[in-house]
This record gives sequence, structure tokens and C-alpha cells, in this order.
Amino acid sequence: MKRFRFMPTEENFFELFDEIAQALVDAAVCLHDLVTNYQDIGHKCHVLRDMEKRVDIATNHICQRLNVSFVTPLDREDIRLLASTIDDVLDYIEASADRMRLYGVEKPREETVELSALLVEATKTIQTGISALSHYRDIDCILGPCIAVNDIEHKCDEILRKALKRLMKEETKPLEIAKWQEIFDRLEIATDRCEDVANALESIVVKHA
Amino acid sequence: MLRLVPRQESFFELFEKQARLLDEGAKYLMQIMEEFDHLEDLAFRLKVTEHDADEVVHEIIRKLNTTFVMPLDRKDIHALASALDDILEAIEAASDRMVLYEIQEPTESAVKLTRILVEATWLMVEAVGSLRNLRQTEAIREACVAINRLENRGDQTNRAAIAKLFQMDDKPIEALKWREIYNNIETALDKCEDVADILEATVLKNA
Repeated sequence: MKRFRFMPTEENFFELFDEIAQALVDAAVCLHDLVTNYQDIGHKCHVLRDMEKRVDIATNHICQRLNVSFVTPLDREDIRLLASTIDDVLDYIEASADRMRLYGVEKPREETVELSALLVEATKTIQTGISALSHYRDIDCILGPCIAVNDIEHKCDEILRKALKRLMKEETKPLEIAKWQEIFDRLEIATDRCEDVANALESIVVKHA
Repeated sequence: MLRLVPRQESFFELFEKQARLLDEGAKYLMQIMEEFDHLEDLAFRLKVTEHDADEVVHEIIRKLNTTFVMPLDRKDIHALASALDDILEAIEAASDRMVLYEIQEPTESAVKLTRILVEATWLMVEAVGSLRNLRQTEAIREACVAINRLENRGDQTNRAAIAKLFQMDDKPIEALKWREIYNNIETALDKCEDVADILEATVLKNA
């Protein structure tokens, strides 16, 4: 069995990636908590914003180190892409929570519970993949999670379609519809970006196969 | 001598296939606007086309990852494949929303926007086809300029269309449904411009 360490060892990229993967999971858990226990919204959104900042800083560190470390150009591009797609997922998780707060949503629509649960699952799967990337592991330990994330994204798509259909059918207040169109849109982008993270991971690994 | 994309013939073939599927998707959307009774059937076919195109993208990425290609070219190839994919995704989303929202008939603006889109995707097929022929950089550039012009026209049309929606005081929910659909079509046009930009940059770099 071929085993590789995919991350450059010169700088502690692993630690930084472990950190942003953890923050990503935390953010999804926070969103799930927000929609299931819909109280202290201001505080919860604040926590999410802090996580977003944490990841921004770590992502910047990664990019800075990439510029000064010896890394082949190919790897550099992949690592940068991986970091920035994770950052995107987090941004959209935060954006959807903050829209609920700003728009004075009284009770999240029920599909947000399923969606945020799937986001938790997706981010945990991403975390597994990232941690395999940082240590000597065989390729399947990373490719497995990538495939799983794609499956989760498809499930999210179906729920989102169902959610939009129900919104248009049952909601009678046009402004409520407009608010939720926007919130669901953000949630959809968050799940799409999880797939981008998986693709970025896959790109790193496949080249060494 | 120009070399736009790595020598493997199959990259060209894959891009051409991707562009053809994209054009097919845009034409399905046009057909939906013209034969609205067949919305569900056509939307299903469009979904199938989108799936087929997904396979092509994966093939490109796989090939890219396992082939030795210069990093610069790699980045361009990746960007081109995913931008082409984004266009078809937005087109599919537009038709899917029409099904989900049980739209009864197309609006004049939707037809107009789709016409512009079909023009742009056809130009894209031509431009991508020209990548293979090393002396056709002028053709690529012309197509890109034309795509940019169409995108501008799409922008104005979309803006006017949304303004018109906001006058539908009596049917606010219909207006919100259509706004989403128009925006999907406009996103498709925006992504056409992204493709044009990538193609132009590639041509310039290799001139």
C-alpha cells in the first residue's frame, strides 16, 4: 500500500488546516443549534462571526506561508484553493444565520433543521479528510470522505428544492417569501461550497496516485 | 507557434463536448419558452444534459490531475471547465425553478433573456471550437467581444424585466418567483462573460 504525506512539512500547515477544519465544524454545529434552539440569536451570530474571523486569520497565514515556503507551484495552488473554499463555506454559514437575525425571523422554517444537520455531517466529513491529509495515510482515507461529501450535497439539493416548493405553495406573505428566498439561497451556496472543498481535496490527492 | 492548451488532443475534444452540451441546454430552455406545455418533459431533458456535462467536467479534472501539464495551463484549463459548467448549472436551475414554482406561462422578458443566452452559448461553441485551430485567435477574440456585448444587453434586459415585475402589485408572489428565474438566466450570461475572459486571457498569454 502506498502511503503519502500530502502536506508540505516545512511549515506547520497541518496545524493551521486542523484549526480551520475545526472552526468549520464548530460553525455548522452553531448554525444547527441556532435553528433548533432559536433563542439568543444575537449572541449566536456573534459567535459565528468570531469563528469567521478565526478562519480568515488562519487562511491568511496559510497564504503568507505559501509565499515564503518552498512548495512546488502545483501544490501551492491546490493548498490555496483548499483554504479559500473552506473559508467560503464558513462565510455562507455565517451569512445565512445573520440574515435570519437581521430579517427578524420569528421561527426558522423546518427545512433549516435538516439542512444544518447535513452541513454538520458534511463539515465533519471534511475534517476527517483534512486530518488524513496531514498525516501519512493511504489515498482512500481521503477519497472516501470526498465521495461522502458529494453525496451529502445531493441530499441538501433535494431538501432545498422541497423547501422552495413548499415556501411558494404555503406562504402567503410576499415579504416572508422574499426573506426566505435569500436565506435558502445562502444555505444552498454553503452546501455547494462543501462540494468545492471536496474537489480541492481530491485534486491534491489524485496527483500523487 | 501558438500552444493554447497542452498537446493532448483530448482536452480540446472534451471542451468541445462540454460546449456542445451547454448549447444544447440553452436550446432546451429556449424550447421551454416556446412550447411551455412541455415544460416538465423539457426540464427533465435539460437535467439529463446537465448530468452528462458534469461527467465531462470530471473527466477533464481527472485528466488534468493525472497528466503532466505546466501549472499555468493547468489553472486555465481548470477555470475554463468550471466556468462552462457553471453556465449550464444556472440554465438548469432556471428551468428547475419553473417546474418547482408551477409557472403557468412564460413572460415576454423571459423569452427575451433566453434569446440572448442562446446567442451567447452558440458563440461559445464557436470560440471553444477555435481553440483547437492554432491560427484562429482572431476568431476567438471576436467571439469574446460579441459575448461581452450580449452580456451587457442581458444586464439591461434583466434590469428592465425586474423593474416590470415590481409593478405587479396584484401578483407579488409571481413577481418573486420570476425574479429568481430571471436572475438564474442572468447568472448564466455572467458566466458566459467569465468564459470569454478566460479564453481571451489564454489567447493573449500564448500569442
